Amino acid sequence: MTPEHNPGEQREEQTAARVPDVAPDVPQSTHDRLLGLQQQVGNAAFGRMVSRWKAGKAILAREDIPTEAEIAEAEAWAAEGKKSSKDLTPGAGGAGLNNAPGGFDAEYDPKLGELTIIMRCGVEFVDGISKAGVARKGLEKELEKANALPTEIERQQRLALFRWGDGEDAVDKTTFRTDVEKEVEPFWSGKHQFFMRKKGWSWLGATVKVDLKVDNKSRVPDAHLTMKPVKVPDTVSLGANVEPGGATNARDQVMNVTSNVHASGSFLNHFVTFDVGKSDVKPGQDTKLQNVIDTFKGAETSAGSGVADARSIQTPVFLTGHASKTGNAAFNQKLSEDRARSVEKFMKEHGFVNTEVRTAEMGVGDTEATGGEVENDRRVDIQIGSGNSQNTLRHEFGHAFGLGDEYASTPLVSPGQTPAQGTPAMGDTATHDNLVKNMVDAGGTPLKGAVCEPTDSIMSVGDVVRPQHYATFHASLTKITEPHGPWALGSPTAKNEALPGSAGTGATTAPAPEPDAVPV
Amino acid sequence: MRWLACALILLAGCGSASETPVAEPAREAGVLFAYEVGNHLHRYGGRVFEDGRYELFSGEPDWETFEPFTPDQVEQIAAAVDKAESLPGEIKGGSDPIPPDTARATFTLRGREVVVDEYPQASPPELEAILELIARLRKKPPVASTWEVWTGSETVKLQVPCDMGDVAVLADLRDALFMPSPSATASRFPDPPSGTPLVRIEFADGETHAVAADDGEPGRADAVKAALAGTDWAKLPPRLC
Ligand SMILES: [Zn+2]
Repeated sequence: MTPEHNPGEQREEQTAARVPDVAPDVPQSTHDRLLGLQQQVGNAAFGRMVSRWKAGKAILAREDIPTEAEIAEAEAWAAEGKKSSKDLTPGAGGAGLNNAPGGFDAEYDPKLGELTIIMRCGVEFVDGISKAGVARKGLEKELEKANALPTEIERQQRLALFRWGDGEDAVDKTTFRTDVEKEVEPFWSGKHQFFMRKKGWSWLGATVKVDLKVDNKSRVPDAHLTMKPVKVPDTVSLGANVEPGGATNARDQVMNVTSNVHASGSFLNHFVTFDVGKSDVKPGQDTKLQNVIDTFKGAETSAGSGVADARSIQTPVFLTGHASKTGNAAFNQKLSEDRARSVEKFMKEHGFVNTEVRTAEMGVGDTEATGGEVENDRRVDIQIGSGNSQNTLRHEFGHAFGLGDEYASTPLVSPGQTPAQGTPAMGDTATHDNLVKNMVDAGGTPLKGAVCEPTDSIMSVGDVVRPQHYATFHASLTKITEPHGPWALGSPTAKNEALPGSAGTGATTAPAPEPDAVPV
Repeated sequence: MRWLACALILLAGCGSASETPVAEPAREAGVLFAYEVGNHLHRYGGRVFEDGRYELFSGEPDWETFEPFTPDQVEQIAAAVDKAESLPGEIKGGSDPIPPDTARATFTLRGREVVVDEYPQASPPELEAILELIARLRKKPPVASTWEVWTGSETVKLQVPCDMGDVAVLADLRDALFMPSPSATASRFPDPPSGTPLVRIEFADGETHAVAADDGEPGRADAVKAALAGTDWAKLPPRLC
């Protein structure tokens, strides 16, 4: 059991611990709160947070308290007004596979304590099936299906679903433009906060606001990103990608997507089934479970070492056992629990990294859904982290902001593909790794970096925006406020307050203690 | 095999934990030409058998069968496959670094595989020629139609012996007739006399489609009127293609 990731301690301390990064909808269940904390600050920071509180309150030295002169200097700088820069490509500092430089303007308003990321997006609307009846690649099946419809009117109506409306401001075009902003801006905004970790300046904070300006390409000559949405009905998928363009050109990115801004992919929910009355993992299901293990085990220091890479998210796994409705309820409850435990044991014995601290298992007894003796009712559900689907558009915007991919070729995600073919391998360094290492937590400790592994992170195969995903926003904030800094993760302090983590022994890495935990 | 990933994508948004059994891909007996393309977000593909069978999949890993190719068409495809014979087993795109979420394609040419790492950017003309040939062969034979169009003062009759999609002057009117949720600002275009539709199409098979000025579907008549107002229909030749 590593001290940096101890679910017992997390449960015990969760009410005392402040989540420094804004979580607008505070999760309520223990399950969710545990996840929420882990997602907000990461395992290492959370462990330190816990030990900080356990160590008790410490006394500040006089030199930790900011002087009037230091505060005045910061106030004068803030009074100069907004700091901004255009056409930044902070991701260009990354290197290697799938490097995405990004491209956006950034503006910091000291008065509001807000960093605004402005990305101009010019849209070039692309018909999925052209007026002349030619299908885009990947829509061949849709064209065949349309052509096979019994009447010409039905066929024409179906084909029309693959064409954008006429004119620059056809309803479907204006809806698309608005929906992109609605889908992406709130998702990428406000997830984490920065403050300037400089004595006397730490009252300066920066919440992050993403402001997309989406319009037709013809009206956005200085677009950072060209979006090429292919028109399809919402039930049709087509995939997506970003062509990042030159490393230092902030205006040559291209995003290939579909008109369906809600398109998503689901990778985080799995299950294995059992024989009647049995809780052992049976042949066939063992292969399935091994695939889940090999996909979500987490990056290791070296393949098969069993030792987690320091940068690994170590996504928690929730195992929920079920039994079919036939038979005795008490027996079924125990059977469900046994099944969940059996899966956990199998995972531990077959290469899942840190099984003890990453898995939580429970049984729910009878399955209500189906009734009778149905194989799928005799199962254990395996939920990886948040368990949520990934919205494709939100992931692709991560690339547009300059982040690389964090997934890896594994049995359940792009199997058989190699780095040479553009898919990272488990344990590869993500391209934004060095930018993440430039970030510090509230106590001033650098983040560990970013590694490629299937997790519930937005740049992997899930939907969670972690501090590391603000790496290019952080880099842009650092640049536009030079030479002052560094910007650390966490909430700003009061003006006369010491830097977080200044007090006491062993407390230098506390992420963001409660103000009242640091007596002055 | 990349098939489980496809099965998982199926679950998009439904929150279900079901996993469907997955089909085996292109490497089946008698395949003349096959392709499968995509990244972890989405995959699609198609295959043509030597006996003419034609199957496609998209997202879901299950092959769906469509009308077979004729022996003559199979011969044309076989000839195009033969022209791609000398391609190497792997074709690289040369981007450094390779862009995020790049698609990759695996082509099967009579049992031999050719992998294109950055698809479609790096796809060689020999492979694209096969796909273009298939697209050409699959083009639906045109359904001829006769259009009766209200010009604002009279109804004119226009013959369209080709596919209506190939006639540029009909594009806006076609959209107004067939697109869902039509919307257009109400035009001052004069209504035809009662009983005369704004437009009426009769297809070669006898099927008809008409929109009247008092069409019940919200926005439809306005959209059609806006499209009608944009063209001087009386000046067009009676045969549009
Ligand atoms: Zn990606």
